[in-house]
Amino acid sequence: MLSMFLKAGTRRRQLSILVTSMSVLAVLMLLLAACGSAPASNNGPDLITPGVLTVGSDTTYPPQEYIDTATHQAAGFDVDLISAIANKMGLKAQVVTAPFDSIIQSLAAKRFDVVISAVSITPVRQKQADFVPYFNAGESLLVQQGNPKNIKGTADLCGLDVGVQNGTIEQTDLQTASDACKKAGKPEINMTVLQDQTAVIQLLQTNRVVATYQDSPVTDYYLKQNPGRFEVGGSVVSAAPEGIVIRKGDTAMFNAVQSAFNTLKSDGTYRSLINKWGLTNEAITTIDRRTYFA
Amino acid sequence: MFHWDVVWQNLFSGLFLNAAWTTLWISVIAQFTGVVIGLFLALMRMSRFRWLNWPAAGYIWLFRGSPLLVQVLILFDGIPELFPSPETTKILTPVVCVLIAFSLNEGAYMAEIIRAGITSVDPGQMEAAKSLGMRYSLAMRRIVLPQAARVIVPPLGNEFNNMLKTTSIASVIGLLELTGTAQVYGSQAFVNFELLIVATFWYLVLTTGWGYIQSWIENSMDPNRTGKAEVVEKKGWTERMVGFGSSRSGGTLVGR
Repeated sequence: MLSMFLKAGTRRRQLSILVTSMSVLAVLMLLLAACGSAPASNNGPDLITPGVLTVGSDTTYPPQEYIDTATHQAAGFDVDLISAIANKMGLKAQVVTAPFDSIIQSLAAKRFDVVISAVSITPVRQKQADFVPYFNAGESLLVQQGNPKNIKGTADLCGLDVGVQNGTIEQTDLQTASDACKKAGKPEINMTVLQDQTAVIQLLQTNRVVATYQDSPVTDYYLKQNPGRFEVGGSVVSAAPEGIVIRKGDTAMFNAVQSAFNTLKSDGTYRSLINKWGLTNEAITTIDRRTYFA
Repeated sequence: MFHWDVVWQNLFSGLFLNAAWTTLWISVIAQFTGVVIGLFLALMRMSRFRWLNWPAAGYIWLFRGSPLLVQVLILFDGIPELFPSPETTKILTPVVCVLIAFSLNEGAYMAEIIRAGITSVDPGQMEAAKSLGMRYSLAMRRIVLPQAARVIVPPLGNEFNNMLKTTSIASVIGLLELTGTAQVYGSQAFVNFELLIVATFWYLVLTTGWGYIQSWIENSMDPNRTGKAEVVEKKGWTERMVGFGSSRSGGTLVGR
């Protein structure tokens, strides 16, 4: 009697183990099927989606990259440029919005084929990725109209509230300036570091900070967009090349982008895009726009 | 490339200790305020007077129905646009915005939890207390709430555990709590991943610590203190995982 019950119990347990293991297997197989679909084509650079150049960009940085409120599409000088480059490569550019502070890691993780996002070329970044230089931008401070705190440069920011975007060279430079303040016995810069450049400008609009620090074209853009509201604090500093970011070791992509860019430069497309976005100062080698803002 | 040395360097650094402390005190204050707001809202919500009942219902509807992140952003970006003066932003600093938004939001959730707790107490308890001559407030305080507390504490613990992690939303407006610290200091040297691991470690420390405190509170509120001696049926793994199997044949009785 008892043994019969025991047997039935064991059989039921065996059955349940069988069912469980089968369902686990089924789930695993589904996962494998989902992950293992990456056909590689051998002509031209490796692409995430064939026929499409997937471009990573932090679209909060007008006029270089932003979401056009009318068309809901990515727009800007960088977007136009990379679309033209993709065209020359026989591809269609598709811009994917991504947070700037991890955009180079995302590129390495193959979320995109290339990144164009006003990324300044620095030695630290060059260890992580390769760059095709395409632009020359400085850094400048945006302050309230009339410059109430009389800010002429980052050295005047000790003890003040300043907004900056996370992961930018401006963040690094402000940190350096803040350390210099500390060394000189002055209060440190009180930085508010946010993820989006648009949110950083918002800080200035709501008077939460006395200045924001970003690339000079961006400063100029907001200056033009909000007439009579802001002004540039001091002059443009450390003009440095910005580059299209290519995954480290992706030589095929690097060569393709570089040669497409060279073609655009020689056929005049680059120049016309520069003119279209009013960035004539950034195309030339060195910028000194002290006279421009005097 | 994962730099373990960066993890070790930052794990117990002042930077992250500070960040963990910020996360902790924001959570504690917001949760405490939330419970106080929730208690009054729950009592209002259960009132038979419309002028008490409706505002409470409206409040809960508003704050439970909209995302916390949006509420934080409205306080941080919206209000200063509405009242553009240097005083507004001086008062509404990131910390203040976060504390207000988290407390108000938590109040709405706690109101429902506390209401459930109070409803779970037999109405006879209130009647008996009133027949002994207690006023509503005294009966609520001495008789109903202590009994309701045992029902309220487990979900309250859940809420605080959530609160510890929800503070990460504050990083959006530039507050340097755990997540914000990891993001801001990770982006410069390409060590986001490493610092996020450090932040995760500290979140786990905080939530684990809270887990112990919560079970201590629950135990000390148990009138019979039967926790240790309780005997439960131990279920087979198939039953726990898949829901069928050895329910009658293989279950064993074990002490907890």
